[in-house]
Amino acid sequence: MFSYILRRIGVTIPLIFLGLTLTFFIIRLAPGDPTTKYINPDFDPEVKALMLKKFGLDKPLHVQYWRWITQFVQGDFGVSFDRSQPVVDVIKYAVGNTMILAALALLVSLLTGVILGILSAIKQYSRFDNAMTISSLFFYSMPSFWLGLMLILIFALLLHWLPAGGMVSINYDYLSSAGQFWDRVVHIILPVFVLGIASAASTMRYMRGSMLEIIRQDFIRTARAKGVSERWVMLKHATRNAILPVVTLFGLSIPFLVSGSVITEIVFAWPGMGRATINAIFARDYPVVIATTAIAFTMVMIGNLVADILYAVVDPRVKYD
Amino acid sequence: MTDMPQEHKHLLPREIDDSPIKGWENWIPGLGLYKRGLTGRGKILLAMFIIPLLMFILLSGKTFQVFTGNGSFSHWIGSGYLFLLFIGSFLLNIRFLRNLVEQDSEEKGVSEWEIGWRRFQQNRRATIGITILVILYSIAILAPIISPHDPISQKNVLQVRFMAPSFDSGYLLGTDGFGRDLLSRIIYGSRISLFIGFISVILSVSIGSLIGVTAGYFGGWIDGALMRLVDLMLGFPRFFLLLIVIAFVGPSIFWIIAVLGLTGWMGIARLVRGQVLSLKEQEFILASRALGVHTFKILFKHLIPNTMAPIIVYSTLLIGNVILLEAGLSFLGLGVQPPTPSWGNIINLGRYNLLDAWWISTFPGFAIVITVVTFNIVGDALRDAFDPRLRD
Repeated sequence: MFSYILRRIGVTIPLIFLGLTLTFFIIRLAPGDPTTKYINPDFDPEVKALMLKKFGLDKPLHVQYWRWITQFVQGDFGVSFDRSQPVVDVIKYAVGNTMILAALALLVSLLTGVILGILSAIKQYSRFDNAMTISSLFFYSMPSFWLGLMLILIFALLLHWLPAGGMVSINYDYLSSAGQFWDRVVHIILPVFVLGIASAASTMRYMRGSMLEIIRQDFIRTARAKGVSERWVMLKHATRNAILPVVTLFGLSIPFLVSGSVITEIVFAWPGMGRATINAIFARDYPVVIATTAIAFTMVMIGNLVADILYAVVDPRVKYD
Repeated sequence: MTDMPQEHKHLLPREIDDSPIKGWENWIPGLGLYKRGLTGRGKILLAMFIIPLLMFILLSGKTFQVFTGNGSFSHWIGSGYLFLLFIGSFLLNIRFLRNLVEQDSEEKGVSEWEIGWRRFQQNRRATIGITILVILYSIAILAPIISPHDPISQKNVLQVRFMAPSFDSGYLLGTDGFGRDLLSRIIYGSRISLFIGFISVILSVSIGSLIGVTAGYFGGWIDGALMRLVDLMLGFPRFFLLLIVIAFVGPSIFWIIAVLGLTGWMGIARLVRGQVLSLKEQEFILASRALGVHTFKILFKHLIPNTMAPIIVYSTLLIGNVILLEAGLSFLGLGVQPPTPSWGNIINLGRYNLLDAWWISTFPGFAIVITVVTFNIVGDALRDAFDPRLRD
């Protein structure tokens, strides 16, 4: 087991480096540089050269790459071209905000997905099961930005129950601490719902399938035959086994959530990584784009690693050698 | 035979009237077949006959516009499609009737594909799904003929902008801030979504099967390297990758298709590799190798065709996903650029007038949901029909 974990880490670290390298070259080989936005023909070529020099863009690509990667692993992401301040300062809060959003969405989607999936498998072909199957199909097939806009239209613009976007209200600083907490809660409800609903739907479908497969197995029949109550069979024997693959889902959901956060953040004006990336893309601000992409990639890789290790820990039947 | 369980009835030959062809009903495509008990084919041919006929009569101005010399290329395609359907309905009618009468009594075996196809046809959700898909693609092809207004031209903007959906004004789904008819824009937008979804999935499938079959068949370090590449690509949050590439190469339809295709092949590669790993141990591959068949031929003539069924299932589900991604990119302004309509960029435009002009963002969303749900339903039904593991 220990050697399996070590080996898994040994595979992940080179992959992370490869991913960082790929990110760097995709972005740097694309046409255009931060001076492109000064399209004024009177823009002095000498100033342009000076700017490129200041950003270190005049050096050969491999030198730039080496400098970037050595700084990156030390947590120094360079200086933002657009805002002339360290990238760390630009994205520090954004990464945290995205992680709060993604973690809550992950939690909510796994919980609801697992519970609804189990219930609908136990009552297969019932009205509840049909309703769940159909609604999960719809939520799974819905563009999240559209769902977000519709929810804003209904709950914020028409009913005025929830705020339309942002993380806190304008008068946040003047609220009591309980009021501040509540303010944050009402702001996060819609984004979490929109970000989590698609993965909740796919978790539900997955869970339902896994539970149905387990229910047909012999040990369930044995448990019933020896007189264990139906409720206990389902809760203890079946659920415990069906819930194992959810650990894998946890790993699979992470890239989904990180990608989904981009659109959710734009729709709800959530000051997170996705929004920072989009803004940086339109400003051709390489260091920020590279940093956010690399962080997103690293998050996904570490998430997968944790999921794999957790799976090895929770499922003693799996042998790794 | 009588005690055969209901679910295996599809394996039996159906009772069909194959008396000689006589009577007027055989001249109307589908009607003769329908009366003889071939209801499925009958309905399809009847639709192929009646719908173009109705459009020739009701929309004669637009359908025949191409002959008066002022039709665009897509207009030609639309009219051509209608004529093909119309003529095709007669030709197919003759062929099916002839097959019926000249049926050979020779017993034929039923292939895996045929069993799957029959199961698929018996699934009601699947037939409805396929019908909706055919309708959607027909709408996309016929866009210049059936859309009531021009999707791009702005008439007298100040008078017709932000008109609410109404039947009387002639703008069924209302107009946007530039006075353009929303229904026409959604119809034209369907061409972008359906076309991009289809082409980029074909690209993904080609790359994925090539990599999967190579990795699975050769094994060893080739397998190891290719599968690490798959892991690497799967680790990238796909949307970030799409964003950075599109942002830096510029949003054009060509690049959107290319990038969507190049970032979507990993699932297919894994799927094909898994299939090939089990297939290559089977006797027919061993026999081919013993006979000295070229490796290239083994890969493309024996291995890939045998993985087609799961590939088709998977790629149907993939198309829905790609349509969502494309809509997302267009929504962010990094996809299809206005004034060319796409469902994503119409929704983006409506976002700034969400309260006073709710219809602009709402209706394209319904179009996306209907399309993606349909692809997912058809994909699920195909899986039920063609996945032998689920078949008892």
